Amino acid sequence: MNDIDSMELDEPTGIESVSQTTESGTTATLEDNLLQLASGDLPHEPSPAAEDAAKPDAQEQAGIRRELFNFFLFGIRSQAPGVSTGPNSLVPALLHRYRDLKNIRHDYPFCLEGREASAAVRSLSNIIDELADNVSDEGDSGARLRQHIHSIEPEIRELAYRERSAGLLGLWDRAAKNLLAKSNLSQEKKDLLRDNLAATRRSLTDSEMIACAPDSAQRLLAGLARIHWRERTNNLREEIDSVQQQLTDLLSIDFESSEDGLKPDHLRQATADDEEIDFDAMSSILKASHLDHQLPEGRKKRIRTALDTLQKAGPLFESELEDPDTLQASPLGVDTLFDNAAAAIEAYNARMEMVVDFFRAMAIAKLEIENRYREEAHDDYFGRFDVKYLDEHELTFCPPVLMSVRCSEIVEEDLNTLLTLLTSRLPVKVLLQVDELFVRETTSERSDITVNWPARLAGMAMATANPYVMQSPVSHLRPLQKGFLDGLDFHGPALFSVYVGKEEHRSGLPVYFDAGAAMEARVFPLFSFAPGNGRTLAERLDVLGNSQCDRDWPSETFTYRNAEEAETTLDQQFTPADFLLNNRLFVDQFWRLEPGGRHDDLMPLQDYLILRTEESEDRIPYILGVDEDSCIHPLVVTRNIVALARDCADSWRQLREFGGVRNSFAIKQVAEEKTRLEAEKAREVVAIKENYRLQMDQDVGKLTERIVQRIAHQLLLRGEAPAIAFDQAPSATPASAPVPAAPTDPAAAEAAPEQAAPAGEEEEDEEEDEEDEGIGALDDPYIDTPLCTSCDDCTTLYPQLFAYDDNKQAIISDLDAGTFRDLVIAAEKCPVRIIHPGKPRSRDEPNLDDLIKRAAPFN
Amino acid sequence: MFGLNSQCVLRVDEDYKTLKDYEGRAARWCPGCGDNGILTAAQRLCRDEQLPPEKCVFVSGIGCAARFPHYMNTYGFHGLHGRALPTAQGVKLHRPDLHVFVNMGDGDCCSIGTAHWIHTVRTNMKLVTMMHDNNIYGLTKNQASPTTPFGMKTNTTPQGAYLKAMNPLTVTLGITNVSFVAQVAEWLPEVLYDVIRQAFHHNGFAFIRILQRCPHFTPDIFSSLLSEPKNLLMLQHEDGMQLSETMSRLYKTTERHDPADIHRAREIAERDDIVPIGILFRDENIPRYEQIVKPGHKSTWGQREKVLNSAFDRFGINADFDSANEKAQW
Ligand SMILES: Cc1ncc(C[n+]2csc(CCOP(=O)(O)OP(=O)(O)O)c2C)c(N)n1
Ligand code: SF4
Ligand code: SF4
Repeated sequence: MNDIDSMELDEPTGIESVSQTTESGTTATLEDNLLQLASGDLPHEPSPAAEDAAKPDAQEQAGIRRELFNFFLFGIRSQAPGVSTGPNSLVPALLHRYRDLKNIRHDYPFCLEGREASAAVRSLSNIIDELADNVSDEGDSGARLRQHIHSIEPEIRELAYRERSAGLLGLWDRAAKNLLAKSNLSQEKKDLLRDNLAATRRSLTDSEMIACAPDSAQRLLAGLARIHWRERTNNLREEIDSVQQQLTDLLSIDFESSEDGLKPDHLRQATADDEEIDFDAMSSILKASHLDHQLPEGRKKRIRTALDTLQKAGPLFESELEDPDTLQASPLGVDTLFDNAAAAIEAYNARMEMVVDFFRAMAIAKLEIENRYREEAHDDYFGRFDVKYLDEHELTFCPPVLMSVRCSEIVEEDLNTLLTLLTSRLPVKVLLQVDELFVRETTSERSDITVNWPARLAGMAMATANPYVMQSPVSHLRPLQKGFLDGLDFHGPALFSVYVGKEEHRSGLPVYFDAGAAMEARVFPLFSFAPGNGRTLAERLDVLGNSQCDRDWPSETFTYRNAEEAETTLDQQFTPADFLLNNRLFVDQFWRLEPGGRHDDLMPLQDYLILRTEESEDRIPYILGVDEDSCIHPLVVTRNIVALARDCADSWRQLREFGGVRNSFAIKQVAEEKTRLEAEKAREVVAIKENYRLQMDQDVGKLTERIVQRIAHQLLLRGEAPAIAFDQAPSATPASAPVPAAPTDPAAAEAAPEQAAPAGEEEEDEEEDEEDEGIGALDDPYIDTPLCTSCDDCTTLYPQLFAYDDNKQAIISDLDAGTFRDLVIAAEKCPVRIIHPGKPRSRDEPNLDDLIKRAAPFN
Repeated sequence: MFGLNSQCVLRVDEDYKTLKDYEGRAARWCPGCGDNGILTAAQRLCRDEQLPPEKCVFVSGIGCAARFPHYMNTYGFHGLHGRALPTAQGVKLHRPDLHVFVNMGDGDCCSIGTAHWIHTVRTNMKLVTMMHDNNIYGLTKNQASPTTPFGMKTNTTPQGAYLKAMNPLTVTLGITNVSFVAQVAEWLPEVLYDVIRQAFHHNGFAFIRILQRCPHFTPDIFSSLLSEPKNLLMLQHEDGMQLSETMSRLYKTTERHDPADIHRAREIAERDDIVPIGILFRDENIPRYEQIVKPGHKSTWGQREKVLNSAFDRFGINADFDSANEKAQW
């Protein structure tokens, strides 16, 4: 096993927040020695020597206990300073191994790419893996190339974290430079590394890499909103383009046939500046021959107005791709983030107005394109056209309005306005950047820690069951992405509550871990509430993204070297105290104990929290922190911290129950149901037994009876008595009178119609004959109109006598308008011989006998 | 919202169109010419389907039959001899929203236009093609066409036609991607109309050979078919042509033929002893070229210009090279 493999196995995966493996994040097959994580030395307890030096006696012990209680209850520290926030800063035991973020593969930094919102987020690790996967050479040089590609990842990550907004290509260049400068490879190998990195760079496109920072949620939301909106309006954009084109075509065609359009100059311009063509002559010819087909002024005006409106609405749907930068800043840009509700609502109204105008213009345009606009009907209709006239589908084209607020900046009225907004129907999507979860309330006597209520807005919003709600720490890119997109898809308001923390409050850990820790510690659990997903909580609420949901706190094995240098493990839970350790505001709530300050009444907080109050009364809770030298220190916490931890556990348990994990109602109901079923089963068993007993009795009775009868029978037989038929089922009587077979006999049924058929045919024939006779007997002339081929012969010959019907087939329109002779001639002329002249109506016509003879073949 | 939407109102103005609305100039074919009946059938189709005249295009080549577009009050394109089909394809490709019809004579289609005929069948674009087959070049006054019967005297074959006539049905049925083949006679208006209607609803290229009388040059060529109904074989099927009661009484030689059966269709088409009338073959599932190559959407002039410019830029001498192509500086 090479170094990489062992390193892979080493990498902890228990606490998901801090070791999220990226989707494709495995490097197990890589012989990539450059990508070694600095796994660091194991943390260790202080050396026993130091401990021995300060072994307190009983009296000292009592003094220590008093001091510890003073600190636990009142936060009073007598001598040693508490947690150091300096270079020797402490981090929670479980987070010690992640101190070096640059070497940890996680979803940050990422970039936004492509046109499909759900696939837009690409992590640096994904990009690197893809580059490595694309190396097709399976030999040594391929392996080395892959190794080189992987070696640049930590460098890029580090730079991206430092610079916040830099393009991938720029980062790549600088990272390569750093890597080369650092490396102590031979010149030859260095050159190869340089060439490999340069060659790989060519397949990259430049995009901005976003590292995990307080503003990354905001950037992600804005970027996704833009891609999402473009995706939603994709078809619409195409439609706008084509409608605009068609309207323009209408106007330009009209111009081409206008007086001006036919002027020689315009013709020259429109054709070619060709010496050989006499444009004056051309103009006069065209003018002389051109049909007068000018658009009426009314139409022209309507078309122009519609075009104008479509153009104005363009930016809303980003149909003008040419200049995306100008859009970004405009209030119409879907990615504009408003910082207050009033501005957001105002923007919504303005956009809605444009959307109404837009759909009105689209409807008018379509009518105009098909020349179906009727002023009598449509003027009125479009005069009244407003938002009520938009259907559900059209309403989805009113772009969502984005809002972004910081938790610490929210005052009470804001909270009200926000709640009102979130209970409305408006598609306002609010990003709440949670920077302060708890606040200090310090008076001269005491200093309390209280919940910062706006930070719990997500829970309140969920209780109204109206908006889409998502809560997530900024470290969790995938839930953020999914939540943002689901919220953008949702037709109503949405609240995205994202923990970002505050720069000035954070001590040792970077934003990524601070945020992840908030979730792990159940201070800021991950959840999403999607009212559009169904009617039940089970369908709407999802809390399963949290780690180890069924426990109060997630736990993880903590490996360290004890004072005797032996490797030891400990089941360590991650509590709100661990999270708060990273917050400067709460330094005074932790007391780092020097080796001399130990006391037997000290107890790990995780154990302390499960004690009942009376049991815990004389214990003092602590957590473990690790300093930068990997030395482990117990840290006593105050009762404020304990209260806060209990509070977090309470709300976590409640949220989890809502989310269907260890739901007390369900547990109760299952228990009840179990008891009920068990009782029911028991009753059934009793009943079955009882039944069985009865049946048994009955059967035994019958059997006895039968045996007795049989014996009697045998006895009687011997005495020649008449037989009694025992045990004989009511015999099947011999088949009664046979059922008439005919109706069910298929053969007979088939035969019947066959026999009937000839008769029917005959009848029909007779009918036909009759008809024929009837026809033969008719004296009036007629035409087999359905057979007429519209050849125009008869109608041109005798237009008064013949005419076409609605199907353009000939009929005799006015018998009085023609003579018998006309009819006969037409009949002779008719190519399909369907004109029947009949008999002459009057005897006055000359040559009647001859005509009757000529008519005969057509009658 | 409130169950209202703009669509309901967009329809209020539609007015019913009658045959008159589809009539163009007065037809100037010879008296008794079979083309008249085809014209009427096409007009009836437009009326019955209430097709907006401005959404229909009749495309033709050159010949008597090719005068067709003039007599329709729709868009039309009276093109070049033999080139009706490519023109129609162009129209359809660019404006898939239009209903495109093609009218050609037997010379237009089977002589000078043969290459186009074959390849258009293969592309299977949604077009309704009426091939007016009068077995002669009418417009140019009596020259033999590929469908002129063997031995018939014409101006170009004074000794009588030397070759056996070509069979447009077997040819069409043999082309890759063929999807609709029918044969009708213009003097059977009911059948003519029915088949044209079914062709119009066909999902692909519909080829109808219409036997058409030319009283001027080939007056007797179809007379045996007119006078003897038994010389026509009526192909009937639930999925094909169905005869009215009157017609079935007149035309009693019938065969139940399923248009899905191409082998039987070919056999029927081969027959010399009888003239089949009806739909020989139909397959609604052959891919259509205009859908395969469908452009995403019509781009605006601005967009086209941009694309062109970027294409031209690639040939520019001083064009900036992509920075990615530069030699690495580190
Ligand atoms: C390229 C070209 N070649 C020849 C001609 C002459 N020409 C005009 S119509 C025609 C034949 C028309 O016969 P057909 O297509 O059967 O139509 P009909 O007139 O019989 O309806 C010919 C050869 C022409 N117009 N163009
Ligand atoms: S002559 Fe015959 S086919 Fe021609 S229009 Fe008159 S009835 Fe119809
Ligand atoms: S020449 Fe024949 S095909 Fe042409 S119009 Fe006259 S009758 Fe019709």
